[in-house]
Amino acid sequence: MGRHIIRQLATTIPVLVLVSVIVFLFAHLAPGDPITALAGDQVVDEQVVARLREDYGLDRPLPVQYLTWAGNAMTGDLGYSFNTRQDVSDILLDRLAVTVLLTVFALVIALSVAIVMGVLAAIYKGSWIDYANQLLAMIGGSMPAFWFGILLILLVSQRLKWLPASGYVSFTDNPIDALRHLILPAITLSTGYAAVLCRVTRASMLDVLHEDYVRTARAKGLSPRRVNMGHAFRSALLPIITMVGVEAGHLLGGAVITETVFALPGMGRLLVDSVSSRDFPVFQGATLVLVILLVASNTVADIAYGLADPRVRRR
Amino acid sequence: MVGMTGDGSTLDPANWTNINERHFIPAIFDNLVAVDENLGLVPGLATEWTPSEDGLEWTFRLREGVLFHDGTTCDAEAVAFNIRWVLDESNGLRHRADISMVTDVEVVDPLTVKFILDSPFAPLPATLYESVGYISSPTALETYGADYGSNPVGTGPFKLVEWRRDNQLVLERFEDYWQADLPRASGVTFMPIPDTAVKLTNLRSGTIDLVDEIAAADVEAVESDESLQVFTLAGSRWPMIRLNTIVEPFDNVLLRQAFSHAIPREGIIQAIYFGRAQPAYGPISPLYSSVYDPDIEQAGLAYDLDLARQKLEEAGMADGFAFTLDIGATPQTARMAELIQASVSEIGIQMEIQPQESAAFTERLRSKEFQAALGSWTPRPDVDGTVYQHFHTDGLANWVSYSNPEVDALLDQTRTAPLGEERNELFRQAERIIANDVPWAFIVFEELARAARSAVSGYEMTPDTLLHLGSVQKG
Repeated sequence: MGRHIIRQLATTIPVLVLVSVIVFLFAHLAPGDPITALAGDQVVDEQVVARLREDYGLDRPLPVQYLTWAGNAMTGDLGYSFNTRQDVSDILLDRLAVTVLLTVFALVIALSVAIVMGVLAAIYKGSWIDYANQLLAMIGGSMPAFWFGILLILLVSQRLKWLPASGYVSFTDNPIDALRHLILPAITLSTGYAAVLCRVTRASMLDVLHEDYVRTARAKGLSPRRVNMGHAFRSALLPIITMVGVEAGHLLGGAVITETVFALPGMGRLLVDSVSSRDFPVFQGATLVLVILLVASNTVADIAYGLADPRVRRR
Repeated sequence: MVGMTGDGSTLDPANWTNINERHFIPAIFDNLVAVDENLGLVPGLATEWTPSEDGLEWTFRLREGVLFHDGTTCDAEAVAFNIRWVLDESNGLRHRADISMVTDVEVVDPLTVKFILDSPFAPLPATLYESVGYISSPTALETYGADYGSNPVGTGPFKLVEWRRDNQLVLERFEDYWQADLPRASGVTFMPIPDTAVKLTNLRSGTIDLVDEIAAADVEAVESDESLQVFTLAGSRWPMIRLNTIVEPFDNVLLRQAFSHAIPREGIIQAIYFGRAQPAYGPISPLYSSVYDPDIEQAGLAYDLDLARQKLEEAGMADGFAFTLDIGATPQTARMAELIQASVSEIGIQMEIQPQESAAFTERLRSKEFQAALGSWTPRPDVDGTVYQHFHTDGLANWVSYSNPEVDALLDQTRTAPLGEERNELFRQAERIIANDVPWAFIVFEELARAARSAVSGYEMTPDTLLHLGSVQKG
């Protein structure tokens, strides 16, 4: 098992290096200038522009800029934001807390809903439970997040006045208020994800229920509950775990939209703003962190795979 | 609690880049000058100001007993320190360009400060109002240096408590504020909510008390809601199309005129603004009540497809021509562009709409690589801030490379002429020429709408369009 994990981690290093080069190149080769991007059509003092370009090291050749940045990044120094002058690591820690909290919350909701619904739909295949489940999954999967989010706000916040419509309260300031602010965004973010997972769970469960060993288990006279949960469900978990790992990227992508609708100060909004203002240090730092998160979630999925299926470990 | 369209990156008045920051700044800072309901200048931190005979020196007399949030005194030394700080290019402040004509500042006595200019500049006080006339604590500038944008210390009604970007900017009442009864509120919190519909929902549910802007489409519904009130200001922003005068096809003035004649201003006002805008034919908004020229309608190039066809024929292009319009990627600009596209196609002009991501749009504009670009402008306290940099040959924001010696001469005169009717007339003359030359195709003057809970009192919309919250209170 230990070797399995080390092997998984080792493959992530070249991925990170490659991604950092690509991200750097994309940022610097895209049209647009970090000094004037924010100013738009306004007058900006030319001497000041020249001065800032020098301060930010933008007048140096690209390879030099990359190596300087990468070298500093290795030591944990991601530089400071061109726009706000804040330390990039500080900004990222702040924003990451919001996005991680949101995505984990959404993941928990999505998994609980999807597994319960998917398993039930498979066991009672062809019944009204199955059809209702499929209909819900279709609706959930096809609703755009921004639309569903606004719908929730109108109903739950404006009409019923149960939960706040926007904003973020830090978990350390007030955990209960923090959760209240995150319920609607997490539900919004989880719907599309839950729909996909629900279908995978149902399909995977159905496959397993037709396997010989399940029939044997039934023939042995085990209770349906033990057959379903003990024998079938554990095997059915494998595709679900894979899906969670693969779809984690979509969850992070969906966080961008959800954060905008609910005015949450997370990574998604930071990333969009840093792209449009060409705030290279923030953009590069944020992308790197997101890639690490993605790779990590896939690695965790791989490791979990090994735990659920001993054959993977032995290979 | 105030709902905003977005957040800012800096609270340094000499470095602002967007409208949100411009709303935050007057809450934390006072300017040397202030504006009244007609965009006239009235005393702020300075009680009076006078130019010298030759216009090369401006003397500002300061108010006594004004304190910064850190307890230090705002006097002539402090003002001089601020101006020198901005002029020092190593501080990298974007609005240094606003006072490029200032060479030095002199402290005459503890409450008198003198600006030394290299050329006469009549609109100096109005220009100070835009950015560098907001005075910061010299101690704070020195302490924080490049980080001052996150640690602002002014003399304004509120002082900074905490700024979590994209979350909230929390300000509290400054107890030693120089205006005795102000501020009325114990504090102000700005909350950026990018989605317009969600922002309005927050206002309706009472989470926030005031919003910076509501869409024209929502005004009627908000007006009919008894728990809310609406504030409007006509002529507050003007979308326009910049026509690059040195690149084909708009290097030909006849084609620029034909294009302007084909812009369906009334249709745009109805379809996009629900009637809450007025047609624009020149760069001077009716907001500038003493300068605005209602006759510009005759001098300008109003919607008339026959005249547009005539211009095309004169130019020898009776069958029309093709060009690309750069737009920013927002739904409203796209809709406006589509309305114009449909109209100009009737006279054979093929306009391709090219949505650009914002930094790329800016890059094309500033490097003058575009043919036509849809943009907008907002009022500055003096008309100079609206026309000089855009239409003077040497203007620093003349992205269309427009050059007309007559306009240059008139605009030069406005900078040396004393404020008053004679100067206003110079602007009107320049406007008539600009309207006819069409370096910009003028479209409309928008009406700005803002909304608050009914329980909010003391708020008044000012023609500088900025939020002034000193006298606002809840209940």
